[in-house]
Amino acid sequence: MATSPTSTLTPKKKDESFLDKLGGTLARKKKAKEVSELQEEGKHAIEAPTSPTVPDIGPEGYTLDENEERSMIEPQSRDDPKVRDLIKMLLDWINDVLADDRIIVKDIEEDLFDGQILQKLIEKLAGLRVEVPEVTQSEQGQKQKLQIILTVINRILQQSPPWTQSKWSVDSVHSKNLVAILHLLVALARHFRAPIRLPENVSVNLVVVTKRDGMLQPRRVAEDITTVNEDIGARFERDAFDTLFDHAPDKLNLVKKTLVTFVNKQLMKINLEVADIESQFHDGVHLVLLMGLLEGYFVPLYDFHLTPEDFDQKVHNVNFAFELMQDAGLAKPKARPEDVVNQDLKSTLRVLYNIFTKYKGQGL
Amino acid sequence: MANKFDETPLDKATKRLANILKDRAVQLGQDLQKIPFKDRSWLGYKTRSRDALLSRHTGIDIDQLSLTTHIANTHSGEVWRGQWQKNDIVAKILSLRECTVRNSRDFQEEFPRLRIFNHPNILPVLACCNQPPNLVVISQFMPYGSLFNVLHGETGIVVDQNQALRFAIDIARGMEFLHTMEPAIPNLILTSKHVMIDEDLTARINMGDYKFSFHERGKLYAPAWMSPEALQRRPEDINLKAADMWSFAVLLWELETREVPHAELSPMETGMKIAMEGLRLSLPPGISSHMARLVKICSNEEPGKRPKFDMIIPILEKLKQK
Repeated sequence: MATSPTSTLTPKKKDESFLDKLGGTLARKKKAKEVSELQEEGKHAIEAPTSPTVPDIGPEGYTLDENEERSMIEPQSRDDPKVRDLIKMLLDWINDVLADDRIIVKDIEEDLFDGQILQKLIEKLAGLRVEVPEVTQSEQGQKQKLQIILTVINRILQQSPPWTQSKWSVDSVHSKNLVAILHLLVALARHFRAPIRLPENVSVNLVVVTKRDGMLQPRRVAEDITTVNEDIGARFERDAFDTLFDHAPDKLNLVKKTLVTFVNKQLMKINLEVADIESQFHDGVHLVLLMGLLEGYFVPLYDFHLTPEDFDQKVHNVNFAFELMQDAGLAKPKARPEDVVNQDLKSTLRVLYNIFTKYKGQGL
Repeated sequence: MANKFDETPLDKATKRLANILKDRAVQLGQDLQKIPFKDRSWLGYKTRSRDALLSRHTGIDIDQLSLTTHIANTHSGEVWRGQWQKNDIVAKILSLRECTVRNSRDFQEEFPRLRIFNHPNILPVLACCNQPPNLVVISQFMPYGSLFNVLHGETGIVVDQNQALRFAIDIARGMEFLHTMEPAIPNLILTSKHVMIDEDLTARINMGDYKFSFHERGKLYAPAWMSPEALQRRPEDINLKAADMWSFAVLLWELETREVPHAELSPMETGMKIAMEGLRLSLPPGISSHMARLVKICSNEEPGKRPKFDMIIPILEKLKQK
């Protein structure tokens, strides 16, 4: 402490006070460190009994029955950018959904195994209540709770138990098996049409160990988590647009043209013109302006983003336009704002057609 | 006893009534000396007199109204004429897509502030019914309708130069009063449609045209009267008093030219052009140079350079005397 270079230069008295000060900060720092250590320890002490102890041993550490299989995720697969992307995206989605409950999930394995978050998630997504004890400390209790929740989830996802067994189960989720948790979350995201675009063809490598004739036989298997995305925006009941897309692509152009003419007739008044439906409506600006023109009001420029820069601002615009449409007595658009922003042609056309049918006769 | 503007009941009452009162007071041997205003608002709960939540006026029962004729269906709601406690009233039933508990609560919180009875140029909201799904705003019935109606409609009222100036002074006084209020009443847009004309041809700012915070979100139906900055930026980010002054300039223009501002354009076109393309009202050559100058001053592009209402009232009064 006394070796501070300034101490040799400054007069004695000042030096002392300087050192005092220095000592003070150092002591404080030390204290702070102690506190954080203590906190860490305390946290550990609280959480330790609730986490199942996962023995840190390789496949040979398990005692396996004859012909039993165990699978482990290969460490390299965890660092695969695609897998990381997927995990991050799912986390963001969960946090979005649970934002109202002030729940933040940080780690997909550590935070989901006890069923607490899963319960909140499924309650929120499906709009139901799962009657389970609030907080469970014992492993037994946690598993029971998880059992109930997974049963509910499986029922919602309409999956037959045998098939489910192979992808996730109480034990695999509870033992923080990443593959099982990922499968579960992807299935949920798909089912509830989460407004995210999952990366395609994500797979992880597993080491599967089988015991045959008293010998452990490892082999590697690639497990697919996601495959090619099916049609994202269209999971509601089929309507005229589905038929149009499937059976009369030539008429599609005619519809597009009619809509463009209709829209331009309005937008011309404020010196705007649209050429391409697919790309020029996705940011919602034209939709908002169109509603103002048709309904006879001005939309103050602070209520939407005239030049949106990111996805969120665009979604806000489209959402706002949807609100205005509903105020005008139009049916709530079936398309989701995110689909329009993602430039899903079918969704955009549905929205515009909805407007068109209401106002076409007015000769505005 | 004087109010905080140093006015006694004798000052506020009409001349005839004031004379009667005065005679009566003298007969009864009352002292006609003014008792100065004493601010007692700090007594008890400081917020009591201002906090709407503590207001005991909870609104009236919709069944007490006898609505007789349907006047109009506007964008803001259905307007009915009727009677309440033997008074002619107009009731506006707000149009809402759905009336949530929250809307009802906000309504309850906001409407008591609109019951301003102590200024001759302000038309108060008399009462409200807060019975979801119906939110009703009740104000006094004005046979001549709005200033817009008087100027551009067919009421048969002749508005000469002097009358126009009187209207302008009335409105300026009303606005001056509103601007003294603390906190100010938000979301009140000054247009000729929101100014009502009383039987004695007094112009009164209609508090019933206040835009509730939850009502018609994101829609402005009268951008022609609004300042460019009010079209572009949030109310909390601009000088609202200066923005009102711009609206007043448009009103002056309207009184002077007897035309509807930007009549040939739809609201969306008007708003976009004012905000983005610098569209402004042009002063026709026929109008008086004094008025033209006043309109110009009041609609200065720089909000900070626009005058205040208490500054222009004397100017208007001088113009009237000429």
